[in-house]
Amino acid sequence: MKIRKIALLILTIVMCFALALGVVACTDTDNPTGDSVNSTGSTDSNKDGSASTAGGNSSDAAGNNSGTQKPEPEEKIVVNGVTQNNNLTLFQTNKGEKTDKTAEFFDRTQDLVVGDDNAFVVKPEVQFLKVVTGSTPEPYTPATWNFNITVSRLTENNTYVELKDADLTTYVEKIDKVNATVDFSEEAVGNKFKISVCPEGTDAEDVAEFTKSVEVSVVDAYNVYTANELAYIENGSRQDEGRDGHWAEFKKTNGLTAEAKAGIVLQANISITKENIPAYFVYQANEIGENDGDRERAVGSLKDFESLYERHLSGSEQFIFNGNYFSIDCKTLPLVVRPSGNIVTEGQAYESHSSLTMFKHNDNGEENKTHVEMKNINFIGNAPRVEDTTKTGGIILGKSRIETLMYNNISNNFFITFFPEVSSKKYTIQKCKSYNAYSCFVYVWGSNDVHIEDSDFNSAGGPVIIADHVQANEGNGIPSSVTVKNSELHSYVTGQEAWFQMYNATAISSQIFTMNNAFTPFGRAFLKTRDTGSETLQFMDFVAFYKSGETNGLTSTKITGNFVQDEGDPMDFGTYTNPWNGFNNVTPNQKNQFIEGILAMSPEAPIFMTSGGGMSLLNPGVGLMQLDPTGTPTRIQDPSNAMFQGKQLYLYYSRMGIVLNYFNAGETI
Amino acid sequence: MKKSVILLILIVYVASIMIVGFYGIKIKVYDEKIMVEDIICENLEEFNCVDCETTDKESFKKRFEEKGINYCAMIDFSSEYAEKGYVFVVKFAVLPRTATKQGIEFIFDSGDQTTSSVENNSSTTQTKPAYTIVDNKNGTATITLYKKRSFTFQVRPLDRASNVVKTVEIYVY
Repeated sequence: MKIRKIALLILTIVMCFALALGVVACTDTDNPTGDSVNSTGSTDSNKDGSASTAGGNSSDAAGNNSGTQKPEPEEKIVVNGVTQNNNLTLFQTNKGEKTDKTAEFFDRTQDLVVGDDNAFVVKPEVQFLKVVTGSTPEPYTPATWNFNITVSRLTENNTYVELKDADLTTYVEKIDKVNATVDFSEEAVGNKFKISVCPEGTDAEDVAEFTKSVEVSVVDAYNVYTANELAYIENGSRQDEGRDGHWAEFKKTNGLTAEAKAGIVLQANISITKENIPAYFVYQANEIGENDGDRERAVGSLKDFESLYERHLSGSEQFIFNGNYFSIDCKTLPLVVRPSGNIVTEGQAYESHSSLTMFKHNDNGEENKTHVEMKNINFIGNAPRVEDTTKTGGIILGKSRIETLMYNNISNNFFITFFPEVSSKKYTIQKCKSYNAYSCFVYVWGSNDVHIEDSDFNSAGGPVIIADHVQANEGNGIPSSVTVKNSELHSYVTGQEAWFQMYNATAISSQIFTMNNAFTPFGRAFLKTRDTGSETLQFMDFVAFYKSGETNGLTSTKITGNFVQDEGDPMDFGTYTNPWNGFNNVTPNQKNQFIEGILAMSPEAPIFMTSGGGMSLLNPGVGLMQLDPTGTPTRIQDPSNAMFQGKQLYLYYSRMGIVLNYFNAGETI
Repeated sequence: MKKSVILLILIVYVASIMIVGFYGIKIKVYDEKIMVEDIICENLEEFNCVDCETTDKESFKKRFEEKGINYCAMIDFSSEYAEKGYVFVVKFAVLPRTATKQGIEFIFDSGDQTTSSVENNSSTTQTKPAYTIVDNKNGTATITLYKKRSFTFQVRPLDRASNVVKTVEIYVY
């Protein structure tokens, strides 16, 4: 019994001792978050910027010293490396030369632009190591760390001079040493600066290596780092349409209290999801009938005829959206499933109308001197050119009713990319690359001053350009006019793409393909072929499609519209001005009578023109016919005829206008 | 026109509507492009690297959760490598494997890789960079370490229709 008591006592003592050891061990080493280390290390000691190098004992095998802190005797936190801020490195790479030219911006000379409305982040990527004697070092993530930041201004002598005292407060509102940000003042706008940043606590011999610098140009704009901040494009100007409240609520919920008066600047790649826009834009379960056949698809889908980021401008206001070569990715934005709010059969192609951005004016006519620019942005949409018909509900990149400059953008995978809408103001697409659109790249909805310059478009589901004559039945209506300079516009289609189904144009495209035979005997063609081994495919390079805006599909309503590319003869669809003026000395009245006479008998009689100045009627039984000087139709037999000249072939068909690239016969793709 | 012909036309018309309504019109897109959805590192073990998102190691996981770091490698650098450098290769691939554009781009601060000059009194000493990264243009990059200096680089597809960017930290101790 006595022995048992003694054993029990010994066991109790051993257990108590073990428990005590355990407590001590936990107190010393349990630090899953690292915060307790940090409380005596990076945060507190770094506040005065003096203690983080205290250790000075981190000399490595190669003889390099690193900045150290010594929060505990057993372990130390080492600043083991500093790399330039990832976004700033990305900026440099984005604007660099690429082997794949579709990924390279046309203009690679733009400065990194910084807005003065809010802070600009220069925080470098710092690699901290937690070094515990006898253990393998581990990455360490301190709660905070301080940085030394200097700002220099580029002077008239083209040298950078560090800002101090009064100069610093003139150009800089605030420097945040913890978050490593610089907030420029309005005075800084128009100036260039160099910002240098280095973690506090860096050993003297490492300062040069650990200091990272960036040169920036300051503009009047808000710096955007997150998708939610894109809300600042919207300026609360849609109260008259009853929709403004949704954005106001969104901004309030997400703490977006600033204002972007003149523009925004991207400072990072942005991906937009439906969580980044008001729920209003997406069908909620209670908005879809319980028994609706499309309920499963419709809940969570994007509403049609909406503009996610809509801004109204007044007087001579401008809004500049500079992407700094970063991306706006809309890949995961929901698709429109109910076009115009209607239930449609799954698999059916239709036309959606919602857009990512919309710019409108509050004034009309001469009062409207507003201007918008979207530049240096890589846009990614949600509707590539694929066989999936659900992409027919993809988003449109940008609609505008004001003077617009789309400059130096790359865009991929939009349902429609550029959308000038009912405006006489100039809409310029300059140095833009656009690829892989489900429908088309440019939809001109009643806009008569559209310019495409120095640009490259390729691979749409339909034509490169659709140009609508809006209100074609009401007087002159609002015709569309497009001028193309020094650009490559290509869309090789077979007529089997969803766009042709969407426009009920599969049959008409088949008819057009057969007309190619009228040109090949003269060495020209508007089709290219591809031998797949099992079949020979035919592609036409579909540049533009001019039609009435009264419906999405094809109509025989008489339309007018203009297209011209480079030095070629322009095409004035429906007005019989170009390229017919001066043609064979036939008077406009004769041409008018001829064409109208033919169309009265057969609205689908194909009338071809070329950018080389040719004009002819295709008589299927005979061939290409032209008017002789007496106004009599005669068959064209001369290969040097203007019908076989030029780079573009124009087809006036069923009172619609079609522009095709014009090749030498026998070309392959 | 005979009644039978009219009837036949009507039957064909109705049948066409039903067939098209049921099967839809065949849509065919040639040269369809398959987009890059993701990028993965294919040789993690070869340079002692972990996927910070999936690892069980808390300190690495924290790098993903708080800093968005996708991969962390721990390199035990011996002083014997200081002269010739410690060389290893990183290998990445795009997903899906059938993506039209397979190209990958390595993004790094080129300023870190320049040989710097340090003036000591009257003489000038050439100092090697801490590391160099050479993009081999085939999804791999060759990294050479010259001293115990940690750094970050990024990887992304050449395809601008993808917004994927992966961040890699190399810890050298």
